[in-house]
Amino acid sequence: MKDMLLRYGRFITAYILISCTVWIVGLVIVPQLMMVDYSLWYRDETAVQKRLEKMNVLEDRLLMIDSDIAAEKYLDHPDQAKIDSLDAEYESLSAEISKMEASETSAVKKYGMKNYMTLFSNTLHRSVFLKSIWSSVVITLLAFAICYPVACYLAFSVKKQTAALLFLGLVIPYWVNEILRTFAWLIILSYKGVLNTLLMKAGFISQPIDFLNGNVGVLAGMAYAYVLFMVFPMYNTLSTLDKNQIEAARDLGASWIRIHRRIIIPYAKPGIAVGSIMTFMLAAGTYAVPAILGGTSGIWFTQIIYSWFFDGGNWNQGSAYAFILLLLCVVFIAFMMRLFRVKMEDMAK
Amino acid sequence: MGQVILDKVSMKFGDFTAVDNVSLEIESGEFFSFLGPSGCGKTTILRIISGFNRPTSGTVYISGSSMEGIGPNKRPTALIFQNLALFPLMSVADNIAFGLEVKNIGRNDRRKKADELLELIALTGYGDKNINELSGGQKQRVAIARALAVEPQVLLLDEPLSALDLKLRQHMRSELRDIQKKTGVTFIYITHDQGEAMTMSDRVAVMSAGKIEQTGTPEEIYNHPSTPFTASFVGENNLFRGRVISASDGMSVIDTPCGRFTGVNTDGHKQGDEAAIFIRPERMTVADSTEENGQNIFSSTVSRMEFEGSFVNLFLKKACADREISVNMMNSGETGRFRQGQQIRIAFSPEHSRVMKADGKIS
Amino acid sequence: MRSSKNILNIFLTGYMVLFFLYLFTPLMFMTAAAFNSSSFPTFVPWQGATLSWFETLFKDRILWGSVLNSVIIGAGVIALAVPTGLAGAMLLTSRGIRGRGFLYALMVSPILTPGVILGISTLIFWDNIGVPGGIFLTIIGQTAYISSFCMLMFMARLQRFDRTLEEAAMDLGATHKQVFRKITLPFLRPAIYSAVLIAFLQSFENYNTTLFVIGAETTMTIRIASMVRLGITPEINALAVLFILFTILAAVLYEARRRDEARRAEAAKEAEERESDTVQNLRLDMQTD
Repeated sequence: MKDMLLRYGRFITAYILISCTVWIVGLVIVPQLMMVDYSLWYRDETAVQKRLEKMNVLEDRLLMIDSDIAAEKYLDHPDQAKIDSLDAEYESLSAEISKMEASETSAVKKYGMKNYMTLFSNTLHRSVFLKSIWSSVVITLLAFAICYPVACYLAFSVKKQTAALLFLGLVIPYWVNEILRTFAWLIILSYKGVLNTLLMKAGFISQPIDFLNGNVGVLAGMAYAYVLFMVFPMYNTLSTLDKNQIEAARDLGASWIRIHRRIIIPYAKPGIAVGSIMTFMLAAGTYAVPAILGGTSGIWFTQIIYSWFFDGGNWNQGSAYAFILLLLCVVFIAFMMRLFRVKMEDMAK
Repeated sequence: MGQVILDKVSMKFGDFTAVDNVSLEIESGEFFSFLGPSGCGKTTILRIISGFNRPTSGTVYISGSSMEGIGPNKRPTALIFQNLALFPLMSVADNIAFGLEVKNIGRNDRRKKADELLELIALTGYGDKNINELSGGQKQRVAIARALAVEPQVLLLDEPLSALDLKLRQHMRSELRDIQKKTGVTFIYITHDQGEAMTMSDRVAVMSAGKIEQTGTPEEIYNHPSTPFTASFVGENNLFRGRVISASDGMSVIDTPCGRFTGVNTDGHKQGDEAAIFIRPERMTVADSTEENGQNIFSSTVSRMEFEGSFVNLFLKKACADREISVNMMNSGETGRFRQGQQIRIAFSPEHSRVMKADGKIS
Repeated sequence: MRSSKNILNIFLTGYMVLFFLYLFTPLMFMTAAAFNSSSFPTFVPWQGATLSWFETLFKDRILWGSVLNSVIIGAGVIALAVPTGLAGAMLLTSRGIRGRGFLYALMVSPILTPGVILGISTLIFWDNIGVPGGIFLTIIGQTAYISSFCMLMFMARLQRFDRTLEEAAMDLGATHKQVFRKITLPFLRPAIYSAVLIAFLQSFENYNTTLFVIGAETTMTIRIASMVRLGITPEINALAVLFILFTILAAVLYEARRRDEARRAEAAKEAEERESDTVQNLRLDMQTD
C-alpha cells in the first residue's frame, strides 16, 4: 500500500484500488453471495395462499364500503359523520392492501434448506448430477491420457521450431468456436451422419446407430472440445524442464517408465493440476455440448439449472443447484491442489 | 552551512536498522563518498537523500530547506542507478532529454541541451542511436548526461561503475572526476570499492552496520583511522590484540602476545582496556638486530613471499598475532635475501601505529 | 537401447499423426459439408458441389445482426477488462501487499469458476437492481472472468519490469502520471495488444455465461447454438469455414509476429555480444595508448 503510493502516486493508486474492488467485490463476490442468498429461501406456498385469501376478504370489504358510501350519499339527508367514518375505514383498508402488495415477496420468503433438499429427493436430478460428476471425471482422465504423450512429444522429441509449428496446429482448433467444434461431431455422429453412412457403405451395419441418444455422443464431443485445455498447461510446464535431467537419468540406467514416474510427472504436476482443473470445470459446467449432442437422454446438470431459470421460473431452486455446482468445482480444485501439492501461485500460466 | 545535511537520520525496516542516527554535512561542489561493505546502509542513505525512502526519523536538508514530504521528482537531486536504468525504448537523446520532456520543454530546446551534454561526455553524434547499441562505458556516460540534464544541485551515484570491467572502471574514475570538476555539481558517491572512493573523493565517510565510522579526506581516513573498522576496512592493516598497560600524553602502551608496543591513542581509552594496535604493512621494516631507538620490535618467521614487481609482500607466521602479518616493501633489488622459514626482526614506529579500543570482533 | 528409443520415437510420431487426425478430421468434414448441395450437412453422399450455402449465410440478417452484437459486446469487454486486469496486475506486483496469496486466488478464481455460475450470479444481482439481461449485462458478466485473463498476461509482463526505470524517471522530475504514461505503459504495450486480442476472442466465443445474461438479445455464438439445435442446414458449415479461415489467418499472423519478436530478441542478444566485443576493443585501445 505504502509502496504503491510511492510508486504510482495517489491518483493511480486510487484507480487501482477502486478498479480491483469494483471487479472483485462488485462483479464476483457480491453477485455470488446474492446467488447463495437466493438459494437459501423459497416461496412459502401456504403463506401465499393465506395471503391471497386475506387480501380477497379485504378487497370484498372495500367494495362494500364503497357501495355503502355511495348509498349514503344518495340519501336526501346524508349522515356526514357516517360517511366520514366509512371514508376513514376505506382509507385504512386500502393502505393495508397496498402494504401487503408492496411486501409481496418478503411476506412469503422463507429461509431454509428446502432448495437443496430437492436435489436429494428428486431421483432424476440426483442421477443426472452424479452422472455429470462421474462423466466429468472420466473426461478429465481421458483428456490426460490423450494429452500426456502429446505434451511430452512437443516438449522433448522435436526441435523448438517444429514444436512451435505443431503448437500452432493445436491453437487453430482451440480457437474455433466451442459450438462449432461440437457441431462438427454432430455431423459425424448424427443418424444420417458421416459415421453411419460410412459404416453402412462398408457393410458393418445395416441400420444406422443412434449415437446421439445416450451419453456416447456427449462424452466424445466433450473429450474433443476440452482436450486442448489439458495440452497447453502441461506443455507449458514440461517445456521448461531441463532435458539434461532426462539424459542424466537415462545415463544412470533408469528405465523409460521410471524416468516418467520419477522425473517428468513430478515436474509436470502444476501443469497437470491446471489442465485437470480446467477440463473438469469446463466439462461439469458445459451447457452447449450435451444440449447439442445429448438428445433427450444425455441430459446434463447444467441443463437442469438452466431450466429452473428459464423454463421453471424458480430462480431460488436454480441458484441452489448452481451453488452445488460451484461447490463441486471448489472441492475438485482443493482436491487437485492437495493431490499434486501445488499452490495457486504455481498455477499461473 | 553544508549543502546536504543529514540530521539524526535513521531508517528501520521492521526490526532491521539500516541507517542508525546518521548526522552529516556535505559541502557544495564537493565529491563526497560513502564507503562501506554491502549491507552497511549506504544505498539506503542515498535513497533517503533522493527521496525514494522516507527516513523513520531525522531530517534531510538540501540547500537549506527541509526535504520532508518532498518526493524524488521535486528534489534538486539526480540519481545514477547501479544498473543505470536507461530507458530501453528511447533513443540516446530522448533518454538525456527526458527530464526536460517531463517539464514540457520544447523539442528543439531539448535537442539542443542533449547535444550539449553529448559533447560533454564525448559522444557527439550518438543522439539517435538506440540504447542497446552502446557499449557499457558509453551507457555509463549517457546515464550521467541524463542526470546532469536536469541541472541538479546534487548528483547521487549508486555504485555506477560496478558493472564495468576493471580497465574501463579505472578509466571512468578519472572521467567522473573531470565531469564533476567541469560542472561543479556536488557529487555523492556510493561504493564498496575503496580504490574508487580514495581516488575520486574530496571526503569519504566510512560506514558499517548503519553507522558512520569516520569522515575525512582520503589521506585522513587512510593515515589516521579512528576506529578498528576503518583501520581494517580501508587498506591493509596488521593488528595485534592486547591490553592497555598505560595511556598518557596521547600515546598508549599495549601488551600483546608478540611483545609490548607503543602507539597513538586514537580514541582516549584508559589503562586496562582491551585494545588492538594497527600498523600498515608498508610502515613495517625489516630491522637490523641491533637497531632499537624507540621503535616497536618483534621477531617472526617468514611463511611466504609475493613478488609484485615494484614491491614485495612478505608474510610472517601468525604465531603471536590474530592473523597473518604482512610486510610490504619497495623492491630494492635485495629482497632476494629472504627465505621461507627465515627468522627476522620487524620494526615499526609508534607514531605510525594506532591503538584503539577493541572489545568486539574486528572484521 | 538405441533401437528401443527409435521404436519409441516411431510410436510417438505415429501417435501424434493420429492425434492431429483426431483434431482436424471433424473440422475437415465440417468444411467439406459446406460445399455439398445436400440440405443435411454431410459430405456423404456427395450431391454435387455448391456455394449456395455461403449465399444463404450472407443473406442471413439475423445471424449478422447477432455478429454485430458480439462485436459490440467484445468492444465493451475490452474497454472494461483490459484496464481492470492491468489494475489487478499492478496491485499484485506491488511490494508490501498483505494477503497477496489470498488476493491472487480471488482474482484468478473467476477463470476457475464455471461460466454458468458467473452468468447466473450476474443475472440475479442485476435483476435485483432492476437491470434485465441484455448486451450490457453480458459485458458485465464476461468482464468478471476475462479481467482475470488480462491480469495474468499483465502480471507476466510486469514481473519482468525493471522498477528502477520508474524510479529513474521520477528522479528526473516526472510526476507519477508521467512515469506511468511514458515509462510503464510503453513497456506494457505488447501485453496490452495481447490482452485486447485475447479479451475479444474470449468474449466472442463465450457461450455459457452469455446464455444466462443475454436476455432477449442474441450473440453470434448463441445464434449458432440455436441454429444447431433447431434444424441444422449447411449454412452453419459455411459459417464454420469462414471461422476456421479467420482463425488460421489470425494464428499465422500471430506466429509471424512471434517469430519476428524472437528474431529481434536474437538480434538484441547479438548486439550485446557485439557490445562486449567493443569493450574488448576499447580495452585493447587503452592498452595500446
